[in-house]
Amino acid sequence: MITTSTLHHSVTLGEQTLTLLNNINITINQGETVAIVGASGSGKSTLLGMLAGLDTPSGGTICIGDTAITRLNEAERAKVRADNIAFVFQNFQLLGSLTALENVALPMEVHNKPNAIDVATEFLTRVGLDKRMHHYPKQLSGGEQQRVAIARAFACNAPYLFADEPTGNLDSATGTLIEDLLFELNTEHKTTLILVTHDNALAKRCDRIFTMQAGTLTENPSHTAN
Amino acid sequence: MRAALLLLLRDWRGKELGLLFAAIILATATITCIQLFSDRIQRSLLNQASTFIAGDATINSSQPFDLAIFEQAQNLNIQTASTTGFRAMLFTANNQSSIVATKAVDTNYPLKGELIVSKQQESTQQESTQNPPTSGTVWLSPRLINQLNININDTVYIGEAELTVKAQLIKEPDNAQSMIGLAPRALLALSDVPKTEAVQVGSRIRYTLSATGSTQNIAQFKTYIASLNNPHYRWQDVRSANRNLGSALNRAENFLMLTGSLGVILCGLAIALAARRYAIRQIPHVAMLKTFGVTPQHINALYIFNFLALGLMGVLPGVLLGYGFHFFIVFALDSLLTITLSAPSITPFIFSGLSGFLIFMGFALPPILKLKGVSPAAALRFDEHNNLAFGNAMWLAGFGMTLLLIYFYSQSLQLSLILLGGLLACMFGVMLCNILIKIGHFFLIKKTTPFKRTSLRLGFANIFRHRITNSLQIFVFSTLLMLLFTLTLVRTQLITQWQQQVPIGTPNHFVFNIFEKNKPAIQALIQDNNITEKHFYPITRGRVTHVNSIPMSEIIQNKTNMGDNYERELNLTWANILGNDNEIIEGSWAVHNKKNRQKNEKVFISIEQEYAKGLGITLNDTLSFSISGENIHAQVSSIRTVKWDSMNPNFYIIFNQPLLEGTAATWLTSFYLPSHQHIFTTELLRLYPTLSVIELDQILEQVQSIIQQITHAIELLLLLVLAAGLLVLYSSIQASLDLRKQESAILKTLGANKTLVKNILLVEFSVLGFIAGLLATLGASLALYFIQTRFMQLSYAPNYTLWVVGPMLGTLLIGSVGWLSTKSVITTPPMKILRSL
Repeated sequence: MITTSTLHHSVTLGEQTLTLLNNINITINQGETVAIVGASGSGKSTLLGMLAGLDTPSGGTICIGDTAITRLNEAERAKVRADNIAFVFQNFQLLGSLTALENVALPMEVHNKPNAIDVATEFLTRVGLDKRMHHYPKQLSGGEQQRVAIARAFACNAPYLFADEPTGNLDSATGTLIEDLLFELNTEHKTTLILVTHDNALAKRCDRIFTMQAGTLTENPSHTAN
Repeated sequence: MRAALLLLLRDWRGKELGLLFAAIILATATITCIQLFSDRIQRSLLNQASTFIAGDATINSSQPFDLAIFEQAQNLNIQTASTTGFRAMLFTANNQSSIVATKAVDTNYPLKGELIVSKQQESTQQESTQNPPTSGTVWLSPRLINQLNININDTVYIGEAELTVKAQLIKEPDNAQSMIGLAPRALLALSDVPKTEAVQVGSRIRYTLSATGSTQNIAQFKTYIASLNNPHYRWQDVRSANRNLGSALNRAENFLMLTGSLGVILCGLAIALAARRYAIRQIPHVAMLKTFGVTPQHINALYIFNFLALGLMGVLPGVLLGYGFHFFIVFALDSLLTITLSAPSITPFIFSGLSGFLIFMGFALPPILKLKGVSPAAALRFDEHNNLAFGNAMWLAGFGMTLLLIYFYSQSLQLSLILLGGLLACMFGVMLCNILIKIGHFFLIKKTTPFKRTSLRLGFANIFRHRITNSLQIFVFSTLLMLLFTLTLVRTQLITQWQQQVPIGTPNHFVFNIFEKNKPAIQALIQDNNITEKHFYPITRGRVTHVNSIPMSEIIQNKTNMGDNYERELNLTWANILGNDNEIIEGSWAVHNKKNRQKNEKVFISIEQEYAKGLGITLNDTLSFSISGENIHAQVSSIRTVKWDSMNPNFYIIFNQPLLEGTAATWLTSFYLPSHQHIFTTELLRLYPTLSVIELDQILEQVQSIIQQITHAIELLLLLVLAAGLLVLYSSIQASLDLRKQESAILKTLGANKTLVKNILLVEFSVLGFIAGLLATLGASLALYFIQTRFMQLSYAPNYTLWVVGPMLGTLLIGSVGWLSTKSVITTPPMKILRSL
């Protein structure tokens, strides 16, 4: 479970103070799928980063399970991320110098987990890239790159998956295929999925939808997942 | 460790490490090359210079050497040669005679250098040999052969020994040692000395032991000799034996040190730039690793391990490349190198490898260690990718490392601080520039927009927008130019000073023992032969007996190696004014305008600094002299430095008034005699047999030749450092290439043509070059002042031309290299660039 309490965040730009997150209080239960929608610059990605412990807020509390990550230092937060969190990014964030297989194996390798290559092979096969696993990112299409990113995220076996515009860089047909894959794997692994998107169709597939507007988060109470 | 190795291997495969690896290899290669080259040149020059004393070191003594000394030399693997010098009468078969400076040598003589002889009556056909005269034979100086009409194969007698003249001795390597021997030379075998019966109890004999061996062994031998505590032994090496050469060698070594230190900074800069570029490109990578839960400490450990491995891997090929590169230079510049280089020693290899590794770790790690601070949120936001600002701690670390490395390299804290001062001046200049750019941008671009041309407007706008990156680049450019300006100008001044030190026309003959009555006639004879004499100096021999009423014997008791020097008779002179080679550093010259000394008049002296220091003499001390049986007391009115390397007659002690009445003193003069007028000295001696002539022409030739070789060596090293500088320039521009590529691609997609993009880059780089040139001039002027006055002991000469040439050169060099290096920005299609970023 992820909970926030009076979460707020502001940045100073020159003489101006900009409030990015304003008094956000949410609870995301284990196994839920949650979409955060909103206009560009409304603070969606900032919130996602905060919830995942990538950034620290100016105030308020964020808890992942029983751990208040806002009270942890960077090394401790890293430990929480290592045990709990996986990511899928809009721009895939694959390392150009690594093959698809190495990209998937990387998080396991840096944590010295056994059989990293075997696990990575298994997940790449699962996302349909068994024939492309030794290719470099630049040799793959956008959809294939995002599939590698999804395989990497699920291979970590993390209970929470954060996705930042996972279909934002893809055409609608490929985007739909990626969405399907993401939800299929999410169901298989019973992961808590929190995603940020502009895509209403994608948002509607989630259990809950939150709308971000000028730093304020509101839940759409009438929403029922498709 | 496994993860770190994987990261390293994959980075390597992805060519991310290419530039960095190339930087470490090239840095190590440059240092190796400079080190090897300077080591070989230094050792070759020392080797060549050591011919001046026919060995690496000599011990002079007025007593024969103990056998234990020879045994110790043998134990230390040191080769020795023995020489015995004494004055004796030489008689010919037809009873003509002359005093000769006899030098008896053993079969090992000379250990270094060669003897030049002529076995013909005419000395035109000369040959070099390392074999001295055999027993029963003698070689005589041409002056003596001409003076006494001796023929080759004639029999002559030195003391009681009957010897056959086998050759004319044209040149002996350690001639400088014999310059105070006023009589012509006779060289014979040491085994013939007993036959002469000239060496008796009470005879003035000079025993010399020449030694040659490794530097380390010679140093041990020196310690051993010092430990004997024998006041008669006087140790001499190349530097102490010949002041000219000693100072030339010291300055050359300082220059080599300076060159090496500058090479270190340049290589460090190249590595720092390449590492910063690598670090910036690693930001997404690190952000990604952090989203996986990798801790900052883990990130540090990963990169430190990788860099240790990379450093170790880069050093070996670097050293090998440097070795090859130095051979290439030696081969390519063969015609310029007039000396045969000594074989390379192992020290530069070890030193360069270690330096390369330390430079790499010192300059590459600071930006890499910043990576641990990269926010994992950078994985979500592109704009953070280019943000890897150097904090104060980074600058401090960089400067600290620079200081440490220069000190490590030069072993001179003074030089290290001077260079660091220059770098700091450049850095403060950069800060000032940053402020000026902001002000300039506000007025020029926003207010008045005087640049109608788009390229100028955009070029200046770029300078403002990239001011943080540009500040770093200006710092690099200005540091680079500062180092090059400093090195070039020091080299120029050094060479000019050397050329002035022994200019053409420097007196190469000294004539002693000119009696007052002969002086006008000799002066006229010199003038009649169109020879310009320098000056006639009165001269008398005298001994210092007391300092402040304390006997000399008491004072010199503890001065083991110098005792002989202070006890011996000195050449004393007097003058109304001091010569140009003398500079008073304490007290003042006591003016005395009367022609003769008045009875009971107070006598003042000016004393040479080193001599005064050796005896602990200070201003106003009273020295007592014994001169021709007369005791004279004189007060020290001034202490002065003397340019011994000027080749003019100079003296330790100068009186302010005539010491001896009438004819008791003799005169000394010096003049330059071209080789074709050599016969003049024979003629002079024939007319005035009591005169003594010292011929310095051979010594001067040797000094000039060595100085010329040092000059060539320094010019070659300058070329090497310039090449290293270009590497830095290229690396620096490469480091900013990504950003420029991206912006140019965007401009092109917006419809800008190639010419516009090209001109924008040209404007940007030219302005950067101008600012860097200006700052470099400032830094170099400061550094030059301290290097010239404190480090090289040269006179300071402000260089006003630099203030014009510096900024111009900066504009041209950085403008053109920058523009050429970024050609790919112009020629690559924009889509390709945008995809690759």
